[in-house]
Amino acid sequence: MKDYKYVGKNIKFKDVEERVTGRLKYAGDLNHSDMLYSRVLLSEVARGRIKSIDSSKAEELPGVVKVYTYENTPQNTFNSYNWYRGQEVSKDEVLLTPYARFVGDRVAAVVARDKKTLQQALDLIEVEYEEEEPIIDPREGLASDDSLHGEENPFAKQELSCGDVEGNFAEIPDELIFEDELETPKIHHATMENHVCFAYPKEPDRIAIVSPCQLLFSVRMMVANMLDLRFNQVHAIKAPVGGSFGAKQEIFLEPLCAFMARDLDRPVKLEFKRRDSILATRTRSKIIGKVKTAVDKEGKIRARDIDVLVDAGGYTSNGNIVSIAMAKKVFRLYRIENQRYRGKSVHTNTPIGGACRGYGSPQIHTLTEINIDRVAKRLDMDPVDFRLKNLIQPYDKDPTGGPNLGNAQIIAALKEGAEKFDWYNKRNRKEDKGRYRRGIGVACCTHGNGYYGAYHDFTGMTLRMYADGSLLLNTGLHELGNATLTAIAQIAGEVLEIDPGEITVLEADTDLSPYDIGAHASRGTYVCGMCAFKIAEKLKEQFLRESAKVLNTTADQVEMEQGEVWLKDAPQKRLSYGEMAARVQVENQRELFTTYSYQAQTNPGSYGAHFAEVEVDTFTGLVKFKDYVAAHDVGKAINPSSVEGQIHGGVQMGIGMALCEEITFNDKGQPLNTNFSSYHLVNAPEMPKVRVSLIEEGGDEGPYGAKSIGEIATVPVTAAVVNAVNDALDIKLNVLPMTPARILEALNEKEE
Amino acid sequence: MKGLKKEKQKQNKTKYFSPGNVKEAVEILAEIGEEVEVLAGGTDLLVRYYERLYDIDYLLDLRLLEGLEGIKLYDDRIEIGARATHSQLEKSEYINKYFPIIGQAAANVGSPQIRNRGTIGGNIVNASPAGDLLPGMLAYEAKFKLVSAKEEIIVSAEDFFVEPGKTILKPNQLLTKVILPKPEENTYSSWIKIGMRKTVAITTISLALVLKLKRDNNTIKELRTCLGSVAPTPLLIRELNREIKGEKIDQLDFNRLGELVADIISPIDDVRATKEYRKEVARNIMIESLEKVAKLR
Ligand SMILES: Cc1cc2nc3c(=O)[nH]c(=O)nc-3n(C[C@H](O)[C@H](O)[C@H](O)COP(=O)(O)OP(=O)(O)OC[C@H]3O[C@@H](n4cnc5c(N)ncnc54)[C@H](O)[C@@H]3O)c2cc1C
Repeated sequence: MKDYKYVGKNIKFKDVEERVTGRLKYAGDLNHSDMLYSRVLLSEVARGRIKSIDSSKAEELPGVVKVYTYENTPQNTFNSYNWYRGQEVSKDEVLLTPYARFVGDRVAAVVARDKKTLQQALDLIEVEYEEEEPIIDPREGLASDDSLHGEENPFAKQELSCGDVEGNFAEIPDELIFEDELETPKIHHATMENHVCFAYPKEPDRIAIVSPCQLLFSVRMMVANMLDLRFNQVHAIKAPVGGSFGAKQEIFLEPLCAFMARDLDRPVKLEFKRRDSILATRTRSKIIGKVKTAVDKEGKIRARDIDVLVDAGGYTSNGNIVSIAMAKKVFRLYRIENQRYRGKSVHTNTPIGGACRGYGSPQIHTLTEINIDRVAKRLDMDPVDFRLKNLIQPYDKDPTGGPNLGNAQIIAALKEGAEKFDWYNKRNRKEDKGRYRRGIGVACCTHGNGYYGAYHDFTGMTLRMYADGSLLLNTGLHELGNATLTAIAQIAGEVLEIDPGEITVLEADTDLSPYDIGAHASRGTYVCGMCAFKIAEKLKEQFLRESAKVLNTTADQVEMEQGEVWLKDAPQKRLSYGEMAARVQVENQRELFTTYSYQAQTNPGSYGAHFAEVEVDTFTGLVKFKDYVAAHDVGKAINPSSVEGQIHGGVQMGIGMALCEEITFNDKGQPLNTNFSSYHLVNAPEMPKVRVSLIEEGGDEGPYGAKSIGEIATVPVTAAVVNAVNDALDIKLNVLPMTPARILEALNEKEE
Repeated sequence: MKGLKKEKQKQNKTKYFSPGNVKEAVEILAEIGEEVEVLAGGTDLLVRYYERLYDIDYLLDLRLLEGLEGIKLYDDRIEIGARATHSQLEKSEYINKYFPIIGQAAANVGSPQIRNRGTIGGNIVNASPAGDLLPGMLAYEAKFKLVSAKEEIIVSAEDFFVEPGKTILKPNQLLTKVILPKPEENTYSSWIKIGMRKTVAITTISLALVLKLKRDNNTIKELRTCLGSVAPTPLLIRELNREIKGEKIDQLDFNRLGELVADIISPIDDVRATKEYRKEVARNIMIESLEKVAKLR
């Protein structure tokens, strides 16, 4: 493979020092003179129409400026997932509701002169509800035809299939059909930075909104829609993001904040606390899934049938779309000629589901990969060998007509991972009989690279070289903390033969930057990185052309490398980029400047195989990690250390989903854990040492062959861990997370 | 000190005191009474008032108070000042020598930041069923010194805890000291804490066990078993002691004792675990604790 200068190198994350020393100004750190503070009052009941809201005591409190409720805010509906104009979405959410649909629904907002007064004012608002019987379990939602929104429950159904599923199931004998079920919990994104935004009026008749978000241009649209403004009256500015994972992809706070700022004609900062974030942002959608797999005697999968129930919570958000996203994944990992996915989405009186790292992919893979493992074991086959027999091959077609899978290196990833993990030897270990039992688990997965095949997917950039040779790349991108902008600079720097440190990459600002559809769908490196590649090539051409003019020659006579440019015949007479750029300005009277709009044309799969070794304490049900290997087909790692960082973080989230993360409710819909003392994340001392293998075979359209990693890193983790725990204990737990209590319960059931 | 209260009522702001000695402090308590919140490390208090500090009318900060610090060794006892932090306990030579499980329990509290701030006095007065120092206090027969403007009294740890967050401490009293009688010879102890993770975890269930053997280092003189997080207050299981007194440790049926513990306790379901889980784990860690102390002999 070609030796690159900047691509494939561990170049330091651009603002890492600011981040770790606390100097970086997040939205919560911003202060304007004259600024007001706001917080939201959340519903305390899971379901009920508001009989009365008395805010008079709050309003009398010194420092309180205004209290908002449904009575003095616009009641036009929106869908927080709505990301482009013209998209068909079901709009069922309002800024502040007259009818609470879950504990955490937005009921009122207080604006005050100082932060301290806010909580006191919230405490003084008296709300009376006409309480109704809530639907907490999505299965109840399905059975009751009771709808929260005056429509049917389930409110959406999806089906995607290939081949002849029923026919094949009919042919296969029962003993070769294997069925499994899985229930996944509602999960909190647990970003370190809670949701926050900041709006201020701008003359003439404009409004600015600062938000740590993933889709700035959609923020602009949503604010404009809510305030009945033209798009060019809204200036949306992206703030640094202190963690998002999809939580800040959906837009519900910004329109409210902007509305209040415009109403009061004052800057307003709206901040969430942890409890607010857990209840009133979005959650990873809960699913209840069933999967049935038919195999032949040789261990080839003949047919598979999947049924998924999605719990969207109190409002629709992406409750139907996430189901479609899940559907698409199942056709792109194994060669299964006959397969069907059926999904139903229901509303329940629980927090709203939404985008969350992987967008349904972790849930669906957990369901199917647990099943694959069990099929293998019941066939008395090694789980790795069984997978190898059935996995897709490079450049396979998507049997449902989706984009080609591209240079899909899952087999290489699985083999390399198994080797690194020492899978076969570990599997041959003697079974433990004592208190501590070891087990190993594996899981494979796929994820996408952008929206191609589903939605429009394009981005624009402008690139200029200044008269001193430094560059400015103006983009509509969103740095979410995963070093996207650093990777973009590496790509452009590689093309332009210049140190990435010389390139300032700007992120989205709706007044100043080209349009971008946003940081979602794992498109940052694959799609936007390609735009950076193309625009750098264009500027390079221009630079050579303009240099040729200065040097009185033709472009093919000019060479550029490592920040220097020269005539082929006179390599000893070199000019720096800056010297040349200055001469181009003076002599050719033009700026080195170009603009480019790039459209994605492919959407291959990224692939991963994870391996977990656990030790379960049968006295306490606690799970400890002994080893962890993550092998990923990333095409090409633009910045290996940040790729690895993404994988470590992905493993941390996936273990949480497997072992401890869950927002729990009682049967009245009251949440039982709304802070981090009772909502448990995996912390550093619990983490396994994650050993990473990267498969870098390129072969697809992305810059230097690169593919996505951010989302897929968390996709196979839960299944690998669950498979390992099940392997250790020879149990079949199918409700996540596998808490110590559930593990001991499953063990006891087995013994009985 | 008179008139403190009136002044405060006019202002609607928290009134802050930082007395230099116990006498001054208890006078403030005597004057204002139950509206005063005592602040030691603040790791429980400030969490309780999170976002609602405006609810605190009077704050009495112990930070400058003399006489509440340090760990002192006497012939027959150790005295721990109420302001001693978990970090100090964890590192104390005396504690680790004579009361190792207090050191271990302190080391299990939260994270380094919490251990550097959180105090033994706060842990005790906060009286959480999950307070990690409490089972050890009962198991080692600790006594607490309570001081008011009127009197100084010594109470035993066993009598101190009433219900979650509630103790016999009166609003006019300050906890100044924890007194631990030095264990006799042939005393062995074990501490086990089970949480959802190894660090920064509220205890799901814990067990402090102190075993006193006779001179033969085998015959049981007394077994003090105290569980955390299975009842409203730390639960000292006296029944066990009656059951096995006089038996020999090397002949003891650990499983039977484990079962007994599981039978005796009646824990509840909460967000961390079910009652069945707690019973089962109680049995398991009882057995493990006995194995541990038997090995220490
Ligand atoms: C993140 C986190 C993790 C934690 N983990 C654990 C854990 O693992 N195990 C555990 O047991 N605890 C844990 N805690 C709770 C807490 O840290 C401990 O209980 C600590 O010992 C409390 O001490 P403090 O000095 O901070 O108490 P403070 O908060 O200052 O006081 C607590 C209460 O005691 C009263 N008080 C304090 N000192 C005196 C005194 N001398 N006389 C009279 N009244 C007094 C106060 O008025 C208050 O009501 C954790 C807390 C946090 C925030």
